[in-house]
Amino acid sequence: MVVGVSGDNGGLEARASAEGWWPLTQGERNWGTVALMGVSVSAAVATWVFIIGGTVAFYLDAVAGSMAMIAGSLVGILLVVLAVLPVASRFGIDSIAALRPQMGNRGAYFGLVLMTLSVVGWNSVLMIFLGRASVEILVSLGLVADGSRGLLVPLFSVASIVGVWFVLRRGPEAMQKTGTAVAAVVTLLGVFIVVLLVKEVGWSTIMDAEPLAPSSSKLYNYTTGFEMLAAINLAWWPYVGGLVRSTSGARKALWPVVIGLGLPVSALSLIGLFAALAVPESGGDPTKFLIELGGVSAGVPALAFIILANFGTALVGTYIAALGLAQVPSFQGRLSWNLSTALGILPVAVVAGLFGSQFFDNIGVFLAFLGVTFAPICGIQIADYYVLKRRPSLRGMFIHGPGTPYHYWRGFNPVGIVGLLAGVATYMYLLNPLTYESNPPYEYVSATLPAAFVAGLVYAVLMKWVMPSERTAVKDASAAEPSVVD
Amino acid sequence: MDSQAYRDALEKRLAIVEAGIDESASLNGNDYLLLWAATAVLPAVLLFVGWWWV
Repeated sequence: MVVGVSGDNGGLEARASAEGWWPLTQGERNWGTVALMGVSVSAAVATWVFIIGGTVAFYLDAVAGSMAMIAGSLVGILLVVLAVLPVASRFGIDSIAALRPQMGNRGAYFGLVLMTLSVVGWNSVLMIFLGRASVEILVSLGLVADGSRGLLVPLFSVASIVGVWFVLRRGPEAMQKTGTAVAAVVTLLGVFIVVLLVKEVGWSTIMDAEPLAPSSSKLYNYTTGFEMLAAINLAWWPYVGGLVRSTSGARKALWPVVIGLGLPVSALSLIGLFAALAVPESGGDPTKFLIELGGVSAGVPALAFIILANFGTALVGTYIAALGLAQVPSFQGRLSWNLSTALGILPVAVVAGLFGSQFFDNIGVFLAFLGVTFAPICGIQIADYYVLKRRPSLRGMFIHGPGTPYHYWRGFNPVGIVGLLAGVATYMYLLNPLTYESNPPYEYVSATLPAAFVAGLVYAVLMKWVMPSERTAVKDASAAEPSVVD
Repeated sequence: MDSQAYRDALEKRLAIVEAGIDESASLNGNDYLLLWAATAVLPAVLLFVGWWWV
Protein backbone atom coordinates (compact mmCIF):
# COMPACT_ATOMS: atom_id res chain seq x y z
CA MET A 1 0.00 0.00 0.00
CA VAL A 2 1.24 3.45 -0.88
CA VAL A 3 0.08 6.63 0.70
CA GLY A 4 1.29 9.55 -1.31
CA VAL A 5 1.00 12.33 1.21
CA SER A 6 3.76 14.05 3.02
CA GLY A 7 3.98 16.84 5.53
CA ASP A 8 2.50 17.40 8.95
CA ASN A 9 -0.93 16.22 9.93
CA GLY A 10 -2.46 19.69 10.01
CA GLY A 11 -1.19 20.44 6.52
CA LEU A 12 -2.44 17.10 5.29
CA GLU A 13 -5.95 17.60 6.63
CA ALA A 14 -6.21 21.12 5.31
CA ARG A 15 -5.05 20.11 1.85
CA ALA A 16 -7.05 16.87 1.81
CA SER A 17 -10.31 18.63 2.61
CA ALA A 18 -9.63 21.67 0.42
CA GLU A 19 -8.75 19.52 -2.58
CA GLY A 20 -11.66 17.17 -2.05
CA TRP A 21 -9.88 13.94 -1.10
CA TRP A 22 -11.72 13.93 2.24
CA PRO A 23 -15.21 15.03 3.32
CA LEU A 24 -15.73 18.41 4.95
CA THR A 25 -16.84 18.58 8.57
CA GLN A 26 -19.87 20.66 9.56
CA GLY A 27 -17.53 23.32 10.89
CA GLU A 28 -15.85 23.66 7.51
CA ARG A 29 -19.14 23.84 5.59
CA ASN A 30 -19.87 27.49 6.07
CA TRP A 31 -21.44 28.58 2.78
CA GLY A 32 -24.94 29.97 3.21
CA THR A 33 -27.66 30.18 0.58
CA VAL A 34 -26.51 33.56 -0.72
CA ALA A 35 -22.86 32.53 -0.96
CA LEU A 36 -23.74 29.33 -2.83
CA MET A 37 -26.04 31.23 -5.16
CA GLY A 38 -23.26 33.71 -5.94
CA VAL A 39 -20.70 31.02 -6.65
CA SER A 40 -23.19 29.05 -8.76
CA VAL A 41 -24.08 32.06 -10.88
CA SER A 42 -20.38 32.89 -11.23
CA ALA A 43 -19.70 29.37 -12.46
CA ALA A 44 -22.63 29.37 -14.88
CA VAL A 45 -22.15 32.75 -16.52
CA ALA A 46 -19.51 32.33 -19.19
CA THR A 47 -19.25 33.37 -22.80
CA TRP A 48 -19.50 29.84 -24.21
CA VAL A 49 -23.24 29.94 -23.58
CA PHE A 50 -23.57 32.41 -26.48
CA ILE A 51 -22.16 29.76 -28.80
CA ILE A 52 -24.60 27.14 -27.48
CA GLY A 53 -27.56 29.38 -28.25
CA GLY A 54 -26.11 29.97 -31.71
CA THR A 55 -26.03 26.23 -32.30
CA VAL A 56 -29.72 25.89 -31.41
CA ALA A 57 -30.48 28.63 -33.97
CA PHE A 58 -29.65 26.13 -36.70
CA TYR A 59 -32.80 24.22 -35.72
CA LEU A 60 -35.27 26.61 -34.13
CA ASP A 61 -36.63 30.14 -34.33
CA ALA A 62 -36.66 32.57 -31.42
CA VAL A 63 -39.89 31.54 -29.69
CA ALA A 64 -39.71 27.77 -30.09
CA GLY A 65 -35.99 27.90 -29.35
CA SER A 66 -36.57 29.84 -26.14
CA MET A 67 -39.15 27.35 -24.90
CA ALA A 68 -37.06 24.29 -25.78
CA MET A 69 -33.88 25.73 -24.30
CA ILE A 70 -35.38 26.80 -20.98
CA ALA A 71 -37.15 23.43 -20.66
CA GLY A 72 -33.96 21.54 -21.52
CA SER A 73 -31.96 23.50 -18.97
CA LEU A 74 -34.42 22.79 -16.19
CA VAL A 75 -34.69 19.09 -16.96
CA GLY A 76 -30.90 18.75 -17.18
CA ILE A 77 -30.41 20.42 -13.82
CA LEU A 78 -33.15 18.23 -12.30
CA LEU A 79 -31.25 15.07 -13.22
CA VAL A 80 -28.00 16.40 -11.78
CA VAL A 81 -29.62 17.64 -8.58
CA LEU A 82 -31.38 14.33 -7.94
CA ALA A 83 -28.18 12.39 -8.68
CA VAL A 84 -25.64 14.35 -6.64
CA LEU A 85 -27.15 16.82 -4.20
CA PRO A 86 -28.62 14.57 -1.45
CA VAL A 87 -25.42 12.61 -0.91
CA ALA A 88 -22.84 15.34 -1.56
CA SER A 89 -24.53 17.81 0.77
CA ARG A 90 -25.15 15.21 3.48
CA PHE A 91 -21.53 14.18 3.77
CA GLY A 92 -19.67 17.23 2.45
CA ILE A 93 -18.19 15.26 -0.44
CA ASP A 94 -17.64 15.96 -4.13
CA SER A 95 -19.33 14.30 -7.10
CA ILE A 96 -16.57 11.76 -7.68
CA ALA A 97 -16.78 10.44 -4.12
CA ALA A 98 -20.58 10.33 -4.42
CA LEU A 99 -20.20 7.99 -7.41
CA ARG A 100 -18.25 5.35 -5.45
CA PRO A 101 -21.31 3.47 -4.13
CA GLN A 102 -22.54 2.86 -7.67
CA MET A 103 -19.33 2.37 -9.67
CA GLY A 104 -16.97 1.09 -6.98
CA ASN A 105 -14.06 2.84 -5.33
CA ARG A 106 -11.91 2.56 -8.43
CA GLY A 107 -14.73 2.64 -10.96
CA ALA A 108 -15.66 6.12 -9.72
CA TYR A 109 -12.50 7.45 -11.36
CA PHE A 110 -14.43 7.13 -14.60
CA GLY A 111 -16.33 10.17 -13.36
CA LEU A 112 -13.01 11.91 -12.90
CA VAL A 113 -12.03 11.14 -16.49
CA LEU A 114 -15.35 12.55 -17.70
CA MET A 115 -14.94 15.63 -15.57
CA THR A 116 -11.47 16.23 -17.00
CA LEU A 117 -12.64 15.76 -20.59
CA SER A 118 -15.58 18.07 -19.98
CA VAL A 119 -13.41 20.81 -18.47
CA VAL A 120 -10.86 20.44 -21.26
CA GLY A 121 -13.66 20.77 -23.81
CA TRP A 122 -15.10 23.93 -22.26
CA ASN A 123 -11.66 25.45 -21.79
CA SER A 124 -10.89 24.74 -25.45
CA VAL A 125 -14.07 26.55 -26.49
CA LEU A 126 -13.08 29.52 -24.36
CA MET A 127 -9.50 29.73 -25.57
CA ILE A 128 -10.43 29.46 -29.25
CA PHE A 129 -13.12 32.06 -28.64
CA LEU A 130 -10.50 34.26 -26.97
CA GLY A 131 -8.11 33.84 -29.89
CA ARG A 132 -10.83 34.87 -32.32
CA ALA A 133 -11.71 37.97 -30.29
CA SER A 134 -8.04 39.00 -30.09
CA VAL A 135 -7.47 38.66 -33.82
CA GLU A 136 -10.74 40.41 -34.60
CA ILE A 137 -9.54 43.44 -32.66
CA LEU A 138 -6.25 43.49 -34.57
CA VAL A 139 -8.00 43.11 -37.92
CA SER A 140 -10.51 45.86 -37.15
CA LEU A 141 -7.71 48.22 -36.16
CA GLY A 142 -5.85 47.40 -39.37
CA LEU A 143 -2.86 45.96 -37.53
CA VAL A 144 -2.98 42.56 -39.26
CA ALA A 145 -4.33 41.39 -42.59
CA ASP A 146 -7.80 39.94 -42.86
CA GLY A 147 -6.44 36.68 -44.27
CA SER A 148 -4.16 35.99 -41.34
CA ARG A 149 -6.91 34.71 -39.05
CA GLY A 150 -6.16 31.05 -39.77
CA LEU A 151 -2.62 31.44 -38.47
CA LEU A 152 -3.14 33.99 -35.73
CA VAL A 153 -6.19 32.56 -33.93
CA PRO A 154 -4.38 29.35 -32.82
CA LEU A 155 -1.31 31.39 -31.89
CA PHE A 156 -3.31 33.77 -29.71
CA SER A 157 -5.21 30.85 -28.20
CA VAL A 158 -2.02 29.06 -27.21
CA ALA A 159 -0.42 32.27 -25.95
CA SER A 160 -3.47 32.85 -23.75
CA ILE A 161 -3.23 29.31 -22.43
CA VAL A 162 0.36 29.98 -21.40
CA GLY A 163 -0.90 33.18 -19.75
CA VAL A 164 -3.53 31.25 -17.79
CA TRP A 165 -0.91 28.82 -16.54
CA PHE A 166 1.42 31.68 -15.62
CA VAL A 167 -1.27 33.45 -13.56
CA LEU A 168 -2.20 30.21 -11.79
CA ARG A 169 1.44 29.73 -10.76
CA ARG A 170 0.64 32.06 -7.88
CA GLY A 171 -1.57 29.31 -6.51
CA PRO A 172 -5.29 28.85 -5.91
CA GLU A 173 -5.55 32.35 -4.41
CA ALA A 174 -5.29 33.65 -7.98
CA MET A 175 -8.83 32.37 -8.31
CA GLN A 176 -10.32 34.53 -5.59
CA LYS A 177 -12.98 36.89 -6.86
CA THR A 178 -12.25 35.85 -10.45
CA GLY A 179 -15.58 34.07 -10.81
CA THR A 180 -17.62 37.03 -9.61
CA ALA A 181 -15.74 39.45 -11.84
CA VAL A 182 -16.20 37.22 -14.87
CA ALA A 183 -19.93 36.85 -14.18
CA ALA A 184 -20.32 40.63 -13.97
CA VAL A 185 -18.38 41.18 -17.21
CA VAL A 186 -20.30 38.53 -19.13
CA THR A 187 -23.66 39.79 -17.87
CA LEU A 188 -22.78 43.31 -18.99
CA LEU A 189 -21.64 41.91 -22.32
CA GLY A 190 -24.93 40.05 -22.70
CA VAL A 191 -26.95 43.19 -22.03
CA PHE A 192 -24.77 45.11 -24.50
CA ILE A 193 -25.31 42.47 -27.19
CA VAL A 194 -29.09 42.50 -26.70
CA VAL A 195 -29.20 46.31 -26.91
CA LEU A 196 -26.96 46.25 -29.98
CA LEU A 197 -29.08 43.63 -31.72
CA VAL A 198 -32.37 45.37 -30.98
CA LYS A 199 -30.97 48.74 -32.05
CA GLU A 200 -29.24 47.60 -35.23
CA VAL A 201 -31.35 44.65 -36.36
CA GLY A 202 -34.70 45.15 -34.66
CA TRP A 203 -36.69 42.98 -32.27
CA SER A 204 -39.31 42.02 -34.85
CA THR A 205 -36.60 40.90 -37.28
CA ILE A 206 -35.19 38.57 -34.63
CA MET A 207 -38.61 37.21 -33.71
CA ASP A 208 -39.52 36.63 -37.37
CA ALA A 209 -36.19 35.10 -38.38
CA GLU A 210 -36.25 31.54 -39.67
CA PRO A 211 -33.92 28.86 -38.26
CA LEU A 212 -30.57 28.75 -40.05
CA ALA A 213 -30.47 25.14 -41.25
CA PRO A 214 -33.42 23.18 -39.89
CA SER A 215 -34.18 19.56 -40.61
CA SER A 216 -37.35 18.77 -42.55
CA SER A 217 -38.85 17.38 -39.33
CA LYS A 218 -40.12 20.12 -37.04
CA LEU A 219 -40.31 17.71 -34.14
CA TYR A 220 -36.66 16.69 -34.64
CA ASN A 221 -35.63 20.35 -34.56
CA TYR A 222 -37.61 21.02 -31.43
CA THR A 223 -36.33 17.95 -29.60
CA THR A 224 -32.75 18.72 -30.59
CA GLY A 225 -32.99 22.22 -29.12
CA PHE A 226 -34.22 20.67 -25.89
CA GLU A 227 -31.59 17.95 -26.03
CA MET A 228 -28.67 20.35 -26.39
CA LEU A 229 -29.54 22.39 -23.32
CA ALA A 230 -30.33 19.28 -21.28
CA ALA A 231 -26.90 17.88 -22.20
CA ILE A 232 -25.11 21.11 -21.28
CA ASN A 233 -26.71 21.21 -17.89
CA LEU A 234 -25.76 17.60 -17.26
CA ALA A 235 -22.19 18.86 -17.49
CA TRP A 236 -22.80 20.47 -14.09
CA TRP A 237 -22.53 16.99 -12.62
CA PRO A 238 -18.89 17.40 -11.50
CA TYR A 239 -19.45 20.98 -10.33
CA VAL A 240 -22.54 20.37 -8.19
CA GLY A 241 -20.76 18.14 -5.69
CA GLY A 242 -17.88 20.58 -5.45
CA LEU A 243 -20.28 23.43 -4.74
CA VAL A 244 -22.80 21.88 -2.36
CA ARG A 245 -20.22 20.13 -0.19
CA SER A 246 -19.47 23.51 1.35
CA THR A 247 -23.04 24.01 2.58
CA SER A 248 -24.47 22.47 5.72
CA GLY A 249 -27.35 20.58 4.11
CA ALA A 250 -29.37 19.76 1.02
CA ARG A 251 -32.24 22.14 1.81
CA LYS A 252 -29.86 25.08 1.90
CA ALA A 253 -28.22 24.04 -1.35
CA LEU A 254 -31.22 23.07 -3.48
CA TRP A 255 -32.49 26.36 -4.90
CA PRO A 256 -29.13 28.13 -5.24
CA VAL A 257 -28.04 25.24 -7.45
CA VAL A 258 -31.25 25.02 -9.50
CA ILE A 259 -31.54 28.77 -9.99
CA GLY A 260 -27.86 29.69 -9.94
CA LEU A 261 -26.68 27.06 -12.41
CA GLY A 262 -29.75 26.37 -14.53
CA LEU A 263 -31.20 29.80 -15.22
CA PRO A 264 -28.10 31.80 -16.26
CA VAL A 265 -27.21 29.20 -18.84
CA SER A 266 -30.64 29.29 -20.45
CA ALA A 267 -30.90 33.11 -20.22
CA LEU A 268 -27.53 33.79 -21.83
CA SER A 269 -28.00 31.01 -24.37
CA LEU A 270 -31.10 32.85 -25.53
CA ILE A 271 -28.92 35.86 -26.36
CA GLY A 272 -26.74 33.58 -28.50
CA LEU A 273 -29.89 32.23 -30.18
CA PHE A 274 -31.18 35.74 -30.94
CA ALA A 275 -27.75 36.86 -32.16
CA ALA A 276 -27.43 33.93 -34.54
CA LEU A 277 -30.93 34.52 -35.91
CA ALA A 278 -30.20 38.24 -36.35
CA VAL A 279 -26.77 37.74 -37.89
CA PRO A 280 -26.97 34.25 -39.40
CA GLU A 281 -23.34 34.03 -40.55
CA SER A 282 -22.17 34.52 -36.93
CA GLY A 283 -23.63 31.29 -35.52
CA GLY A 284 -24.10 33.23 -32.28
CA ASP A 285 -20.38 33.99 -32.05
CA PRO A 286 -20.19 37.67 -30.96
CA THR A 287 -16.67 38.02 -32.39
CA LYS A 288 -18.24 37.86 -35.83
CA PHE A 289 -20.72 40.68 -35.48
CA LEU A 290 -19.68 43.05 -32.68
CA ILE A 291 -17.46 45.17 -34.96
CA GLU A 292 -19.90 44.93 -37.86
CA LEU A 293 -22.89 46.08 -35.81
CA GLY A 294 -21.26 48.23 -33.13
CA GLY A 295 -18.42 49.74 -35.14
CA VAL A 296 -14.83 49.88 -33.90
CA SER A 297 -15.58 52.23 -31.00
CA ALA A 298 -18.13 49.90 -29.39
CA GLY A 299 -17.06 46.58 -30.87
CA VAL A 300 -13.42 46.64 -29.78
CA PRO A 301 -14.16 47.25 -26.07
CA ALA A 302 -16.81 44.51 -26.21
CA LEU A 303 -14.28 42.10 -27.74
CA ALA A 304 -11.83 43.08 -25.01
CA PHE A 305 -14.53 42.13 -22.48
CA ILE A 306 -14.78 38.72 -24.14
CA ILE A 307 -11.03 38.27 -23.83
CA LEU A 308 -11.06 39.17 -20.13
CA ALA A 309 -14.10 37.02 -19.38
CA ASN A 310 -12.76 33.99 -21.20
CA PHE A 311 -9.39 34.33 -19.53
CA GLY A 312 -11.06 34.40 -16.12
CA THR A 313 -13.32 31.44 -16.87
CA ALA A 314 -10.35 29.45 -18.15
CA LEU A 315 -8.54 30.16 -14.88
CA VAL A 316 -11.46 28.58 -13.03
CA GLY A 317 -11.61 25.65 -15.45
CA THR A 318 -7.90 24.95 -15.19
CA TYR A 319 -8.12 25.16 -11.41
CA ILE A 320 -10.90 22.54 -11.47
CA ALA A 321 -8.88 20.31 -13.81
CA ALA A 322 -5.88 20.56 -11.47
CA LEU A 323 -8.08 19.64 -8.49
CA GLY A 324 -9.39 16.70 -10.48
CA LEU A 325 -5.87 15.37 -10.93
CA ALA A 326 -5.36 15.68 -7.17
CA GLN A 327 -8.18 13.16 -6.67
CA VAL A 328 -6.06 10.36 -8.15
CA PRO A 329 -4.49 8.63 -5.14
CA SER A 330 -1.14 8.09 -6.82
CA PHE A 331 -0.94 11.84 -7.57
CA GLN A 332 -1.99 13.07 -4.12
CA GLY A 333 0.85 15.07 -2.64
CA ARG A 334 3.17 14.13 -5.48
CA LEU A 335 2.30 16.71 -8.09
CA SER A 336 3.42 20.26 -7.53
CA TRP A 337 0.79 22.94 -8.11
CA ASN A 338 2.57 24.15 -11.24
CA LEU A 339 2.71 20.65 -12.69
CA SER A 340 -0.96 20.00 -11.87
CA THR A 341 -2.08 23.15 -13.66
CA ALA A 342 0.27 22.45 -16.58
CA LEU A 343 -1.17 18.95 -16.99
CA GLY A 344 -4.66 20.37 -16.66
CA ILE A 345 -4.22 22.89 -19.44
CA LEU A 346 -1.88 21.02 -21.81
CA PRO A 347 -4.72 19.16 -23.59
CA VAL A 348 -6.44 22.52 -24.13
CA ALA A 349 -3.30 23.83 -25.85
CA VAL A 350 -3.27 20.79 -28.14
CA VAL A 351 -6.94 21.17 -29.08
CA ALA A 352 -6.87 24.96 -29.48
CA GLY A 353 -3.52 25.03 -31.24
CA LEU A 354 -3.95 22.16 -33.66
CA PHE A 355 -7.66 21.49 -34.08
CA GLY A 356 -9.26 24.75 -32.99
CA SER A 357 -11.34 25.44 -36.04
CA GLN A 358 -12.57 21.85 -36.38
CA PHE A 359 -13.46 21.69 -32.67
CA PHE A 360 -15.31 25.00 -32.70
CA ASP A 361 -17.24 24.10 -35.83
CA ASN A 362 -18.34 20.76 -34.36
CA ILE A 363 -19.35 21.88 -30.90
CA GLY A 364 -22.59 19.91 -31.23
CA VAL A 365 -20.53 16.71 -31.08
CA PHE A 366 -19.00 17.87 -27.80
CA LEU A 367 -22.46 18.63 -26.41
CA ALA A 368 -23.67 15.18 -27.41
CA PHE A 369 -20.63 13.67 -25.70
CA LEU A 370 -21.75 15.34 -22.47
CA GLY A 371 -25.21 13.82 -22.81
CA VAL A 372 -23.86 10.39 -23.78
CA THR A 373 -21.73 10.14 -20.67
CA PHE A 374 -23.32 12.17 -17.89
CA ALA A 375 -26.94 11.11 -18.48
CA PRO A 376 -26.33 7.41 -17.67
CA ILE A 377 -24.28 8.33 -14.62
CA CYS A 378 -27.14 10.47 -13.30
CA GLY A 379 -29.61 7.69 -14.06
CA ILE A 380 -27.58 5.15 -12.10
CA GLN A 381 -27.17 7.43 -9.09
CA ILE A 382 -30.86 8.33 -9.07
CA ALA A 383 -31.87 4.65 -9.24
CA ASP A 384 -29.45 3.79 -6.45
CA TYR A 385 -30.78 6.46 -4.09
CA TYR A 386 -34.47 6.66 -4.91
CA VAL A 387 -35.36 3.19 -6.27
CA LEU A 388 -33.04 0.87 -4.39
CA LYS A 389 -33.03 3.31 -1.46
CA ARG A 390 -29.42 2.57 -0.65
CA ARG A 391 -27.98 5.03 1.82
CA PRO A 392 -24.27 5.47 1.13
CA SER A 393 -21.71 4.61 3.76
CA LEU A 394 -19.30 7.45 4.41
CA ARG A 395 -16.61 5.07 5.57
CA GLY A 396 -17.20 2.91 2.53
CA MET A 397 -16.58 5.85 0.24
CA PHE A 398 -13.25 6.74 1.82
CA ILE A 399 -11.83 3.52 3.23
CA HIS A 400 -11.04 1.16 0.42
CA GLY A 401 -9.85 -2.38 -0.04
CA PRO A 402 -11.14 -5.96 0.05
CA GLY A 403 -14.01 -6.39 2.48
CA THR A 404 -15.09 -2.76 2.31
CA PRO A 405 -18.57 -1.87 0.99
CA TYR A 406 -17.65 -0.46 -2.38
CA HIS A 407 -14.76 -2.72 -3.30
CA TYR A 408 -17.08 -4.98 -5.37
CA TRP A 409 -14.78 -6.58 -7.96
CA ARG A 410 -11.29 -5.14 -7.49
CA GLY A 411 -12.75 -1.72 -6.88
CA PHE A 412 -15.19 -1.83 -9.82
CA ASN A 413 -18.91 -2.52 -9.66
CA PRO A 414 -19.69 -4.61 -12.76
CA VAL A 415 -23.39 -3.77 -12.41
CA GLY A 416 -22.61 -0.07 -12.50
CA ILE A 417 -20.48 -0.55 -15.59
CA VAL A 418 -23.21 -2.58 -17.34
CA GLY A 419 -25.81 0.05 -16.45
CA LEU A 420 -23.53 2.78 -17.78
CA LEU A 421 -22.93 0.94 -21.04
CA ALA A 422 -26.67 0.32 -21.44
CA GLY A 423 -27.29 4.05 -21.07
CA VAL A 424 -24.54 4.96 -23.52
CA ALA A 425 -25.86 2.45 -26.07
CA THR A 426 -29.38 3.83 -25.66
CA TYR A 427 -28.20 7.37 -26.29
CA MET A 428 -26.14 6.39 -29.31
CA TYR A 429 -29.02 4.45 -30.81
CA LEU A 430 -31.39 7.38 -30.41
CA LEU A 431 -28.99 10.13 -31.48
CA ASN A 432 -25.68 9.59 -33.22
CA PRO A 433 -23.42 12.09 -31.43
CA LEU A 434 -21.17 12.51 -34.48
CA THR A 435 -23.75 12.96 -37.24
CA TYR A 436 -26.84 13.95 -35.23
CA GLU A 437 -28.81 11.35 -37.18
CA SER A 438 -31.63 10.02 -35.03
CA ASN A 439 -33.69 6.88 -34.69
CA PRO A 440 -37.25 6.56 -33.40
CA PRO A 441 -38.51 7.42 -30.87
CA TYR A 442 -35.88 10.19 -30.42
CA GLU A 443 -38.22 12.88 -31.67
CA TYR A 444 -40.69 12.10 -28.89
CA VAL A 445 -38.41 11.28 -25.97
CA SER A 446 -35.01 12.95 -26.72
CA ALA A 447 -31.81 11.00 -26.02
CA THR A 448 -30.76 12.23 -22.59
CA LEU A 449 -33.87 11.16 -20.70
CA PRO A 450 -34.05 7.60 -22.12
CA ALA A 451 -30.29 7.15 -21.62
CA ALA A 452 -30.65 8.09 -17.95
CA PHE A 453 -33.76 5.93 -17.58
CA VAL A 454 -32.31 2.80 -19.20
CA ALA A 455 -29.03 3.09 -17.29
CA GLY A 456 -30.93 3.44 -14.02
CA LEU A 457 -33.33 0.60 -14.85
CA VAL A 458 -30.58 -1.85 -15.81
CA TYR A 459 -28.58 -0.90 -12.74
CA ALA A 460 -31.54 -1.26 -10.38
CA VAL A 461 -32.65 -4.62 -11.80
CA LEU A 462 -29.15 -6.11 -11.74
CA MET A 463 -28.34 -4.78 -8.27
CA LYS A 464 -31.61 -6.14 -6.91
CA TRP A 465 -31.57 -9.57 -8.46
CA VAL A 466 -28.02 -10.32 -9.55
CA MET A 467 -26.10 -8.79 -6.67
CA PRO A 468 -28.51 -8.89 -3.72
CA SER A 469 -25.68 -9.78 -1.36
CA GLU A 470 -23.91 -6.56 -2.28
CA ARG A 471 -27.02 -4.60 -1.41
CA THR A 472 -27.20 -6.25 1.98
CA ALA A 473 -23.52 -5.70 2.54
CA VAL A 474 -23.83 -2.04 1.74
CA LYS A 475 -26.85 -1.56 3.97
CA ASP A 476 -24.70 -2.84 6.81
CA ALA A 477 -21.73 -0.86 5.65
CA SER A 478 -21.06 0.83 8.94
CA ALA A 479 -19.99 -2.50 10.36
CA ALA A 480 -17.45 -3.14 7.61
CA GLU A 481 -13.87 -3.47 8.72
CA PRO A 482 -11.44 -1.48 6.59
CA SER A 483 -8.37 -3.26 5.40
CA VAL A 484 -6.61 -0.87 3.08
CA VAL A 485 -6.58 2.82 2.54
CA ASP A 486 -5.70 3.78 -1.01
CA MET B 1 3.34 10.88 7.08
CA ASP B 2 3.12 7.10 7.05
CA SER B 3 0.04 5.18 6.01
CA GLN B 4 -1.08 4.41 9.57
CA ALA B 5 -1.00 8.07 10.52
CA TYR B 6 -2.89 8.89 7.32
CA ARG B 7 -5.55 6.34 8.17
CA ASP B 8 -5.84 7.52 11.76
CA ALA B 9 -6.35 11.09 10.58
CA LEU B 10 -8.91 9.96 8.01
CA GLU B 11 -10.79 7.80 10.54
CA LYS B 12 -10.91 10.70 12.96
CA ARG B 13 -12.32 13.00 10.28
CA LEU B 14 -14.94 10.47 9.16
CA ALA B 15 -16.13 10.08 12.73
CA ILE B 16 -16.45 13.87 13.08
CA VAL B 17 -18.34 14.15 9.79
CA GLU B 18 -20.73 11.31 10.67
CA ALA B 19 -21.41 12.79 14.09
CA GLY B 20 -22.21 16.14 12.51
CA ILE B 21 -24.82 14.92 10.04
CA ASP B 22 -27.99 16.94 10.41
CA GLU B 23 -30.97 14.85 9.33
CA SER B 24 -33.29 17.86 9.34
CA ALA B 25 -31.15 19.46 6.62
CA SER B 26 -32.08 16.72 4.12
CA LEU B 27 -34.68 17.36 1.43
CA ASN B 28 -38.25 16.66 2.55
CA GLY B 29 -41.46 15.98 0.67
CA ASN B 30 -42.25 19.65 0.10
CA ASP B 31 -38.79 20.30 -1.27
CA TYR B 32 -39.20 17.48 -3.77
CA LEU B 33 -42.65 18.68 -4.71
CA LEU B 34 -41.40 22.18 -5.48
CA LEU B 35 -38.36 20.81 -7.29
CA TRP B 36 -40.59 18.60 -9.39
CA ALA B 37 -42.91 21.49 -10.20
CA ALA B 38 -40.07 23.79 -11.24
CA THR B 39 -37.91 21.37 -13.19
CA ALA B 40 -40.35 18.81 -14.60
CA VAL B 41 -43.88 20.25 -14.73
CA LEU B 42 -42.79 23.73 -15.84
CA PRO B 43 -40.57 22.37 -18.64
CA ALA B 44 -43.45 20.17 -19.80
CA VAL B 45 -45.70 23.23 -20.01
CA LEU B 46 -43.02 25.22 -21.83
CA LEU B 47 -42.48 22.41 -24.31
CA PHE B 48 -46.20 22.21 -24.96
CA VAL B 49 -46.49 25.95 -25.54
CA GLY B 50 -43.40 25.95 -27.75
CA TRP B 51 -44.67 23.02 -29.79
CA TRP B 52 -48.00 24.76 -30.24
CA TRP B 53 -46.03 27.71 -31.61
CA VAL B 54 -44.06 25.50 -34.00
